[in-house]
Amino acid sequence: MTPAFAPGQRVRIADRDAPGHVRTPVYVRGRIGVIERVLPQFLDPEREAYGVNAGTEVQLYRVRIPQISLWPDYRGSREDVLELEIYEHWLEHAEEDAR
Amino acid sequence: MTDKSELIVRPTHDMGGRTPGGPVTRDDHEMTPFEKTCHALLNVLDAHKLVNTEEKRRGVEDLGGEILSSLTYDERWAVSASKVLIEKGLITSEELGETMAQVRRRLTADP
Repeated sequence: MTPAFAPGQRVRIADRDAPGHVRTPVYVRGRIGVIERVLPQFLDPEREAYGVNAGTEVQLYRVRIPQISLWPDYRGSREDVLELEIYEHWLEHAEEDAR
Repeated sequence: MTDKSELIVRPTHDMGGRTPGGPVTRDDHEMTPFEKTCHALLNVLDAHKLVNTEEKRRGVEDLGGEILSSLTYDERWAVSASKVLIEKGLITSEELGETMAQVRRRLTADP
């Protein structure tokens, strides 16, 4: 499986509800970031967590989000970023003029 | 989003951005014998492909807010793994309960 995203691409983290074991924290859902790097593929934790060991591998990425876009009252440098790891099925292509 | 929906899709453990966040405690300590034993046992369960990390994490999340805030880190893992073992039919509640009672008797027995 070829990664759908490449370093430097703008992405939106999906803003959806997902009961169950998910590793995309609520506070980053719907936010825009940039692919920092492509990471390896891993067994899908959303299935593994329930003993559904189907061997489904999903692509993981490191995504970089400006802190100022996450926290309106952020007082640090405007250059500060959050980096976190997000699976491909939580990522969408972002428009250039998006938030 | 209603309070009920929030409880379902944003469970207690998903704490990021919640206010007040409170201070981060940076205390550390040597691992206790219980913690070492717990860690070792859980690693063995994983190595034998009986209980994987994701199952344990899900089990910890499913403990709910009150238990999460009361138990220590390793206590959460132990309770979670025991429930996953029961779910998978590898042990029964009865066996676990009886073993816990045996251990309790051993600990409280006169020397």
